[in-house]
Amino acid sequence: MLKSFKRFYSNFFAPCLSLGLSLGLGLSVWMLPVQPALACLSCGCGGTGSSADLGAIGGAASLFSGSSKWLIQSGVSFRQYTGSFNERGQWNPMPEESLMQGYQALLGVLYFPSPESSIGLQLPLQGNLLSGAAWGAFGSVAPTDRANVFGAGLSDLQFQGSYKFLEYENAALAAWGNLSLPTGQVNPSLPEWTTGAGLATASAGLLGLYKPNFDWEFFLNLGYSRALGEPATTLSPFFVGQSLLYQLQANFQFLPRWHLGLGLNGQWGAWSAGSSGFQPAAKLKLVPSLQYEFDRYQGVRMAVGIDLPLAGYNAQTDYALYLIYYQFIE
Amino acid sequence: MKKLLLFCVCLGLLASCQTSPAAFPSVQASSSALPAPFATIQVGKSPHGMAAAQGFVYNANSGENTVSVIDSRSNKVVKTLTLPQGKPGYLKAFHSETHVLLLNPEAGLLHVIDSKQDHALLYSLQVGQGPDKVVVSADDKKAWVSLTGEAAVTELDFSAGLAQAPVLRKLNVGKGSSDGHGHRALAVGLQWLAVPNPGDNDLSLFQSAGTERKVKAGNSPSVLALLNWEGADQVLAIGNNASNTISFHDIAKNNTTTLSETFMAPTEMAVVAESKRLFVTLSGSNEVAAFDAAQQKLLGRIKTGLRPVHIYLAPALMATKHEGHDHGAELWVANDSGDSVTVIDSETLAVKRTLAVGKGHHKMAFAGNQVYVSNITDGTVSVLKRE
Repeated sequence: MLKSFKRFYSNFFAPCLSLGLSLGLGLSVWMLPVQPALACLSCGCGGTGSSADLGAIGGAASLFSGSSKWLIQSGVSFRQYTGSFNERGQWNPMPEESLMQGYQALLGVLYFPSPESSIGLQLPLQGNLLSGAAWGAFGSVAPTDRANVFGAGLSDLQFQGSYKFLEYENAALAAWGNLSLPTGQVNPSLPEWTTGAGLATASAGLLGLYKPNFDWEFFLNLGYSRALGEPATTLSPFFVGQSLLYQLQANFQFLPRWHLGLGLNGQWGAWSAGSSGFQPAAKLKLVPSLQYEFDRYQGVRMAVGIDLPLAGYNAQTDYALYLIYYQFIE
Repeated sequence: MKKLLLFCVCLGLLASCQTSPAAFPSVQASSSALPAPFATIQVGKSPHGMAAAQGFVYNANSGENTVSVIDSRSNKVVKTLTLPQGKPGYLKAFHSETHVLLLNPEAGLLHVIDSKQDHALLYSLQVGQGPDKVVVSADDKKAWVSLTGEAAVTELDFSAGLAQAPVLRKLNVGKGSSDGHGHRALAVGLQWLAVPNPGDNDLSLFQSAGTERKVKAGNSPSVLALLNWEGADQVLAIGNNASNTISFHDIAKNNTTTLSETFMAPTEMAVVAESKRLFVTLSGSNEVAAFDAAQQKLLGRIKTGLRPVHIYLAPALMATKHEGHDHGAELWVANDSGDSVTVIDSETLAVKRTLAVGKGHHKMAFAGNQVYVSNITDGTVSVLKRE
């Protein structure tokens, strides 16, 4: 039943979605009526650098929007690719004397029609610097003889919505949905100019929060995504397909206004591999983060994403750095 | 104040996309310290495909519609063939080097050039969408063309001679690439023909009697070679480009073994038949891997220049031909980003020489004791001397 999986998804979208959702959740937690000023942002910066990397912001933010009507977020991210897993789970480093980097910028606007719901839109930009390597099929990295080529442009536009349907004194549960539109370019001949998935992707999931005491909070996010179409595994460098997303996140307030976070983001999916049937596409990312709140309405967060050298299949790996600024508007 | 801060952050993130690529390391390596080519010949735009026949070297200028014909005695371009449509691609000497087959991917054509008749273009045949590679049978009477845009391989039967058009037949195989671009390898043995199916992530193996077999190996099986001994095809070697693995398909037993080691980006294969050795360029790790095909065992890894892609088994020189074997045969490896060629002894696995060539992707042709290397970026052909 599984459909083709898009590598871009594994590297970019899933973790980003997690990021966005968790970010949103974190924000929402921050605004929990229970202890609004004491909560911390969740960090799901597991993304690898797509348009959605800092995206899907809207997802869960509306869970606990409180009295705010708008949430504006902007951020930048940097990604350094480190290698790839093959279908046997073997990890290979980047081709010798090669470099692949991704730069991303994103502006997200979220509107809260009610305290329980949200709708959002994200405008992402994506830049790629490739030198001696490019995206290959099945999540691989392919060596090239092209040096220092750079391309940038609009990436895939994201629409999101969420609804909080359960809320208790120290826990909450919300459903979210996301639609990614193929507004980015796909250019197999000049891969540095590829900034999008090449087809629409829909995803949905559930996000839960548990906050046992003043200092700690925990999130669990489970989602499902599938592409609205089936790209060839050899055509697009960014494959979007059917996949399960998961995220576990813990945050701890160690000083007033300062929060440390640790997230484990991953996805488990599959893509169609021709006559070979379906193959797994998976990876796991560890995301430590640090957040500072200027005041009740705004703050910044820095996070580092590290792909773990285990439980990976048909996926690229990277290190990533994220910087995000958020602001609620009444 | 808050709005101003937000605006500044947005502005900053937009500006971040303007990062200069010049600040990052280049993959280009200097070849200035290496022995220079014996001669450099200016040809057309983006020279790529190469073939040698009757003392002439044919070079396909893939950026335009011409083929440069170089006389190996003078190392001068003696004729430039102009195609009526499309652009030239793969070249292959045929029929005891009396003719040259030229593929025209854009126009879907195969051109037949007569080397002995002032390089005349004898005729052109529609062979299908995206003709990419051509191989010829051991008896020099048949040719097969891989198609990137179709789920087929075109067979051309020249048994009636080359004066007339061959009998064409399409062999149905798996899917090509979904966009009709990229490459599609092809390997021919004594009885079998093998072609990867990029759209299906497998390979088709054909027997001349008509038997077809699908072979599954790793992901993106894209390079292959058929090895034969004792008068029969024995092993199909497969380079799985996305998996970074090498597989061996035992033809008699119909089973496939993938080696546990990884081989970064297997790109092309060459076979030394007598020693049953297989050589594979690994463009991801700048190596050539040498295998004992009979044992399906890695013999060693040989360091090359940057981005080794094409590899050629050099024909025996006149001085050594009488020995009647290919022990000690040379493998010539084109290092695309290294602007160099690495010469490897197939027996000792030692690097014999590293020679400078021009810039860009390279292909080679051998004529007498000279080697011709196309330099796609420079628009030149480098001439190297064999020792």
